[in-house]
Amino acid sequence: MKDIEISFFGPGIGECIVSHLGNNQWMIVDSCLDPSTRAPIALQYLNQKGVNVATDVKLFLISHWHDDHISGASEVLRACKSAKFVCSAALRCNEFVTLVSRYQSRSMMISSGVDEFAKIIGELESRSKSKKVIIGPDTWALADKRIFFLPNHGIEVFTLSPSDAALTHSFSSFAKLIPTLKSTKNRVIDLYPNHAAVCVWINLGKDLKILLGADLEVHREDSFGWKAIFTSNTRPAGKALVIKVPHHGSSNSYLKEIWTELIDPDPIAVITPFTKGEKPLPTDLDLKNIRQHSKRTYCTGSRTGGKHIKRDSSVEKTLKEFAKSHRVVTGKMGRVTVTFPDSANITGVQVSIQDPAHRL
Amino acid sequence: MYSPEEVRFDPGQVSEETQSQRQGERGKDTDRNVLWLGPPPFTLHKRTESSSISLVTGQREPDMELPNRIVVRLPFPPPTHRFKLLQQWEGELIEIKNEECTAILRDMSHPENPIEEITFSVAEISSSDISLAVPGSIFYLSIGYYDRIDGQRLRTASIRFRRLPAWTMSDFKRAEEEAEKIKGIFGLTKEIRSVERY
Repeated sequence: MKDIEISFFGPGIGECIVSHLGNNQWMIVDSCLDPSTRAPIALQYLNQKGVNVATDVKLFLISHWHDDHISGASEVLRACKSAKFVCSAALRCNEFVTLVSRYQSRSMMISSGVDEFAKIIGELESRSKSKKVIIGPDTWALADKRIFFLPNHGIEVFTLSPSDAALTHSFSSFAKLIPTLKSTKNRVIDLYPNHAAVCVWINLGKDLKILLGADLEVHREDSFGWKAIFTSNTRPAGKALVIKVPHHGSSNSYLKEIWTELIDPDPIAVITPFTKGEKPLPTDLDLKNIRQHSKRTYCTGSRTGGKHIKRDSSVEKTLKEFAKSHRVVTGKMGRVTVTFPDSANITGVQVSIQDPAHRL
Repeated sequence: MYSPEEVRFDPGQVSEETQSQRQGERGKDTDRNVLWLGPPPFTLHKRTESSSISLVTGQREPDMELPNRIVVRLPFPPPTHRFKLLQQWEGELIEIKNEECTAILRDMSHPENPIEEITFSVAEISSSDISLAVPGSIFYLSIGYYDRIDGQRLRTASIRFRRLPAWTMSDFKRAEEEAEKIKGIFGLTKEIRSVERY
C-alpha cells in the first residue's frame, strides 16, 4: 500500500486521527468512542479496513489527557501491541502521578480523563510484566523531537510541543488539581489552557507534510504554545499541506504567523468541533479566521450538537420550563479522509467525507 | 399493651441523654437507663436500679409497677406525597457563571441516549444543596409527578446533589502505594524525585 491516508473523526465531543503513513505503517493520534457502538473509533475503522492492528499500528500518541482526546485509549493500546506509545513529557512528574493515583483509588465517580489514564498505566504495567522490564510510555513527547523514523521510506514524525516553559508550568497546574484532605470527592475538572498538549508534524516527503494541532493554544509569552513553535529554530522545515486545526478552531489557538509560515498557502484544513460549553467551537468568527487561510476547510461533525431526543411530552414541557438551554452535545461520528496516491503525488489528493462531516 | 405506633409525645420532653440512647442503642438490651413508658397519660420514665424517674416531672416513683420494655420511636409524619419518576439524569456541573449553571447530563432512564448539556438558574438549587454546587460536583435531575395526599398532582423538576464523601488520610495512604507503582513505570526514580524537590 503506497497510498497515504489521514482520517479525522469527531462526533462533537472527542476526536481521533488515524493515518496511513505508507507501506502498512499506521499511526493513531488520540482516541474517542463511536457514540452508536461505544467502541474506540480507531479500532473500529482499522478493523473494517482489514488492518492488523496488533502488527501494523506503529505509533499511538495521546496529545493530552482530557476526556475528549483519551476515551477508549487503554483499549487501543491493548490492541495495538507493537505500537510505540507516546504522551506528553508534562505527565512525567510527581504531581500528575499523585493526581492519577488519588483519583484512581476512588471508584464511585463517573469516569474522567484521569480514570482512562489510570487504565493506560495498567496496560503499560502489563507490557512491562510480559517483557520483564519496566516499560513506561515508549517516548515522552517534547518540542522538536523526532519520535518516529523510517529512513528507507522517508517517513518522519516529530512532536512540536510541549515547550520547556510549558513543561515547567504544567507541574504547578497539576498540583492545583490534587485533592486535599477533607475536600469532597468530586470529579476532577479539566485543566485549561492546554499548553502541555502535543502537536505533531508528519513528514512524508519533499512536498507532503501534515500538521496535527492538538488542543494547543496561543499564550502571551513566546515560550509557550504556538508562539514557542513559531519562534523555534529547531523545528522541522517546510509547510504543511494538511492541517488538523488546533483546539477545535477556537480563536485562542489562532496565530496568523503559523498559517503563513508553517502552512501551505492552499492547505486542506480539518476541524473537529467541540459542542460542549457556553460557546460551541468553532464559532462563526473562528471560521472567518480559518477561511481566510484555507478555501478547503472541513468539519467532522455538526457544530451545534446532535439531534434533539424526543421524550414524553410531560418531560419535554418540564425541561423547557426548567432549563434556560438544553441540547444534545454528541452526534453521529463524522469522518473526513484525505488521501494521496503516494507521498510524491500531492496533486492526486482526494477528500472524502462521511455524514455529518461537511465542507465549510 | 399499647404498641409503639400508638405512642404520642412531645419530643421536647425527652432529655438529650435519652434521645441519643434511643438513637444509638435502639434494640440493645442494657440494664441501665432504659426508656419506659409510665401509665396513661404515657409520660416518659427512665428506669434506675430500683425505681423510675419521670422525665417530665423529675420525680422518683419507687412503687410504680414497671411495664414490659417497649421501643419508643419518634412519630414519623405520615407521607404527604408520592413521587412518580418520569425521567432522570445524572449530571456533572461544569461551570457556574452569572447565576447560571452549565452541566453535562447522562440519561439514566435511557442510558443509550447521547450526552446532553443543560443550563439552568442557580435559583433552581435548594438552599441545602447550594454549598455542594461546585464545578465537578455530581447531581441528579429528576422530572416526575408529585402526587399530594389531598389529590393534587404537580409536575416538577428537582435537583439533588450527591453527598460525596470527603478525602481521608486512609484514601491518601492507599493512593501512595499506587503512586509508587506508577512512578516506577514512569521511571521517576528516587534520585530524580529528590532532585525535583529542590
